Amino acid sequence: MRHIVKAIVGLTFAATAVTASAQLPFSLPGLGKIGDKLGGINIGNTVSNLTKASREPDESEEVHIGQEFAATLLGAKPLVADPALQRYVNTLGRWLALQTERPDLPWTFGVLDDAGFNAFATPGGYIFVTRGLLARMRSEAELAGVLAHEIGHVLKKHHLRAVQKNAGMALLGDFVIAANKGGNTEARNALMNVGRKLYASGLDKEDEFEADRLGVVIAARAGYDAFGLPSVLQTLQAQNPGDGEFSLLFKTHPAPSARIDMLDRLMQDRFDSLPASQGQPLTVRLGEFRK
Amino acid sequence: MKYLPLALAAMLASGMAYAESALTSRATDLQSHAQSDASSVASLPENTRVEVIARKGAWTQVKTAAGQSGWVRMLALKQENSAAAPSAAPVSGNPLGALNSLLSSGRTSNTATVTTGVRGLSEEDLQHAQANPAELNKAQRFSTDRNAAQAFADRSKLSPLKVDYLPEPQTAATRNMEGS
Repeated sequence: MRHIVKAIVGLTFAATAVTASAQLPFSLPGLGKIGDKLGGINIGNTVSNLTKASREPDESEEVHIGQEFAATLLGAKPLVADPALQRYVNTLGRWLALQTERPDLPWTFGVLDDAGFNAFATPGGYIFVTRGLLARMRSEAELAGVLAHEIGHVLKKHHLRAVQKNAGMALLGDFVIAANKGGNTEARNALMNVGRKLYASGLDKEDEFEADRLGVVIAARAGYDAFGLPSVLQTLQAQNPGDGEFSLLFKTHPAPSARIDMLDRLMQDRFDSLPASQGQPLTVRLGEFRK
Repeated sequence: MKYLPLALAAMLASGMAYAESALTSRATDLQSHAQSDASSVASLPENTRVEVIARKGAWTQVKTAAGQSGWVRMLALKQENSAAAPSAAPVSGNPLGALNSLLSSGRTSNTATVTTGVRGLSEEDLQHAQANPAELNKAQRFSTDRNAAQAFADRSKLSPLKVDYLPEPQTAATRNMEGS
């Protein structure tokens, strides 16, 4: 209750103090709840454009939101300082993305300098894996499977949907405006807060299962063994969820055995007649990309 | 490359190194070939320990403690250990050794019983993260165009295939009924 009161007070203050674009809120209880979710920050002029907010963000707005999230992830961990490695992951990732219905997003892939095992996607096609994940890949087909799973999240706009669900359409609309113009600091901060919480707590389980279903098919379309991703899940299955290198991934994803069970039921013999390349070892690829 | 023993060469070529044992995660057939209509060599109960020899798509070639060899569905296995992870990477005399050690630093045994002190990117790290637009600019400079991706596929002999997306699975209730 205290938060709600604070939010309303802040809101009213902001609405009178800020520009002409600020209007009095239409629905105080709803707005109070949003303020609460965002940790009581002042969202006064972020609720100014409810009409614009009621539509889906277009592709360039989706990309802008994704860039904000990507910059935040890179603020947590920078890229591994190895241009050949980064170019390799981008090239492999782009080849996979070309097999999808969104081949021309500004697909950008990166390896984060982190010993943990994890992978992230943001709206608009920004995808990161950690060097700890890369070190545990037993084949390029496994890495392709992981990247294709993340591509699946982007295709289905899972993170964008999660932001809408958690913060409400009204707020998303203002995020979009903020992201486009870069002017509204408060809306931008609110967007980044939602992003931080989203990546720390993870998506819905159903979104992860869907990304698994998409990922095995995208890898297969690109010529890779569709069982690369299930093989990675088997590696995860053998881990201790409490291990500090794996704990965030276990916290933010369904149990590996549940994911394997689903793929086992669906994949069956469907991929048996495909060429199923394992790809090249990382050492060979780095040699290629260093030239 | 010709000085390498054939098995090692094949292992390196596939990028995989299997010196693992695994357990069956459910009762499954040991089959003579890597296809579903192949003849059955033996029926393996759940939790049968097998030695993993090779993998091919949906199938894994294994050898049982009783000495029987054959193929089982890859997803009917679970790893008992996965000491293989980094062994495909370091090759002696490899000029990329520095990167391999960079990539594998912080990496430890994959066995489930071992918990290391090494910590990966955490919830707290994310909650305190500040945007780093300069790093994002750097990341964007590595992004690759269609042509480069196509050239990569051509030299890797990867051809695009038409494969339909998988359907959504049945409801949980149905799945529970058919499983056991």
